Amino acid sequence: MPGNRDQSERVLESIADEANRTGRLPRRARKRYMIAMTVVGVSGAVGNVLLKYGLRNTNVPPIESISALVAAAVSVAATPWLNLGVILLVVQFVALTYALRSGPLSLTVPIRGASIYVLTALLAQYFLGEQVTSERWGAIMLILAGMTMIGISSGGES
Amino acid sequence: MLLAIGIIIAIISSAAGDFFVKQGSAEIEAPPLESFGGALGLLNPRRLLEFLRQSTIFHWKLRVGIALLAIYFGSFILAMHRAPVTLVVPLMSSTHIFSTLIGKYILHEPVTWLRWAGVALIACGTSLLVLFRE
Repeated sequence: MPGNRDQSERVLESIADEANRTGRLPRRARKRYMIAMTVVGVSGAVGNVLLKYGLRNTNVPPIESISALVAAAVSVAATPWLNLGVILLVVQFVALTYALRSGPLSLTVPIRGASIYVLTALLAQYFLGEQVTSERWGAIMLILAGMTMIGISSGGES
Repeated sequence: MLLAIGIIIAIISSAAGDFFVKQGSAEIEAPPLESFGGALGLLNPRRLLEFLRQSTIFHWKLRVGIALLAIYFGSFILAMHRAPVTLVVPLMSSTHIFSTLIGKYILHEPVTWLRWAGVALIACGTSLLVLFRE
């Protein structure tokens, strides 16, 4: 159905236009945007934690030469949890490009940062047993504030 | 030490890779599909290869960008192997510092004071992460 496809393409384009022009989330894209950003946050955070989980159980040989680098890459690529983590990070990227087409950048950058950094820290605390000190939480909050300002300052452009 | 170098390489190659991919993708041009028998004609691998050869999808900037992003991912994995996730993942936000610098000094884009303030906050946050890394 080429006609149908053209039409939905046009609708997506007009939504992206409206989002970038007004800097707000267009009402008709709200549901789609929220689903996309939830996928971004969850897959990004779970992907990061799985990456670390897979790497913890892998013996990466010390890298002293190019051939050792190849051996390390092969041993890393053979870890199932790590591969799942990489797939989730790709999912995160695809969902992010989708979200950027339905909502403003100034909203997307801070939401992505907040959901991925905070959720990753919480998951790492509970599932990997990592200690997150109050200094580290403070640093994450400072970074989030910075990312929010950068996001707001890029409001007008795409 | 090795870890610090790995993280710095990851941050710089991520910012530079994004820059080259963005620049390169703006310059992609493809030949008209009609001369290849329409979109379905591309199902033929030989025609697809010819189509890709005539398009500028392998523009050098894109190739450099993809290579840099591969370097980024490799060093990110190495850093994750040695350091806690809660240190490496927030540290990657310093790519914003480098992309702002690239925007200002290479692309000569206007950078608002709000953006500089955001960059300063991220710099404070990442310094705090490094100072209290244990």
